Amino acid sequence: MRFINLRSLKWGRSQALAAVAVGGVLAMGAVLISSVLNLPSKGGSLSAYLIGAVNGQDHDCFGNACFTNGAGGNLAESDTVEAVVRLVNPTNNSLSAYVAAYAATSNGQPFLLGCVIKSLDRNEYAEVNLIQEFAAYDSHDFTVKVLTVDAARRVQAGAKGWLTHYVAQTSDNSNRRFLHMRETELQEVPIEVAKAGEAARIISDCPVP
Amino acid sequence: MASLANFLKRQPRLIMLLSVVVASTLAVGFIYTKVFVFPSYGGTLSPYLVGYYDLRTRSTFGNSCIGAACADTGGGEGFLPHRTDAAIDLTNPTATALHAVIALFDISGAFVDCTTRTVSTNETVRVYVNNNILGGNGDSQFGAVKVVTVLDSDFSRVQAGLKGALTHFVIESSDQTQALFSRASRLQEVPAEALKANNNAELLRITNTCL
Repeated sequence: MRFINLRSLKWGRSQALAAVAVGGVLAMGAVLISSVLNLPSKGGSLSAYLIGAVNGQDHDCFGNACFTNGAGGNLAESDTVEAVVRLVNPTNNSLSAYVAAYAATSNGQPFLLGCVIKSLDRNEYAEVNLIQEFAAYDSHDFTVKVLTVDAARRVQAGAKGWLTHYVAQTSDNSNRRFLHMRETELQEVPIEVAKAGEAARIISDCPVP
Repeated sequence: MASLANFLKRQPRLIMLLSVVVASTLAVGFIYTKVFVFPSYGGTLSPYLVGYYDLRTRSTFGNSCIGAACADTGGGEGFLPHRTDAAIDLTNPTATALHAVIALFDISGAFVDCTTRTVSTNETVRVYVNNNILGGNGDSQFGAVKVVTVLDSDFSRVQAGLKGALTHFVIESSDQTQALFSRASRLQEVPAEALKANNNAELLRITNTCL
């Protein structure tokens, strides 16, 4: 294959303008294509595997109060009253959600606190009161995992999740407690992690009733 | 200047080559900027956002229910939550005016009610579920919230562009004290494919009712 010898070409200004026009069109085309292919406005994600961190332990003090032999500790005392997993299915598919809680022993051995299966049809809302459901009051900080499957029990993405902590604060007597709240989204984990054994583990830990 | 002009007139191929070089440099620069400098675009927008609302109030809750019937004992935990609402904040960071359809569903997925709002460029619009959508009759209701955005200039065109936040407010009382507590999270982005699946089933279900 021979290269084009530019010296042999007798181009005038019109050819030069044509070359510039072609170059410009290519440049604009490349920019447009790169913009379109990257689809900056096409956001959103769904994962079949969601996780959250639950603080189930009671605390007698926080921060500096923990180093003062309890002096002033009562003011910062708190009880984790409840942690609620909330699930919404925005898709057109009926799903079931395995909600499993795992903790670890003092020597790091993981164990199952409990598991429930919730039906989650299209546009449906479901929730699990973790502390109450798994009798986990003042027991552990633990991990909650949510795995969604379709009607044939195949792993299927489609749910969004939130995790709400309710913490009761005791002030000077037990009749004066207020309920503080905090909330975050359950985080989406890549499906590859579920396929690497976690999905099978959760399903085996949660036999269908 | 005249000598330069004469020189350029005598060298059309040089002009052509310079033009091609300049155009190519610009093209490479544009592509580099678009593709390589901001490869991840560091954020997403979706026309389909989802959240939840929970307007229930309970005076017995959580660990007080363990091992016993979870009856409302009128303040067994020492607090009396009441007068609650959930706020939906929609912010438009784009240069396009959008129209947001906000639809509520109950716990079983049945449609409850909806409203719409125009969200102009850089505007933040707040909608209260209880006061603005349910007419103050939302006590004890809970379920899913869905937000679909379309062009404000053409309701038939779905267009991404809003970010959403969700804040629940609960007033609690104990003795003579009242306090307002809140929690916040995000409306989460759902891929547009979920909206368009099964011949736009989810999209039409919302827009046909609310627009």
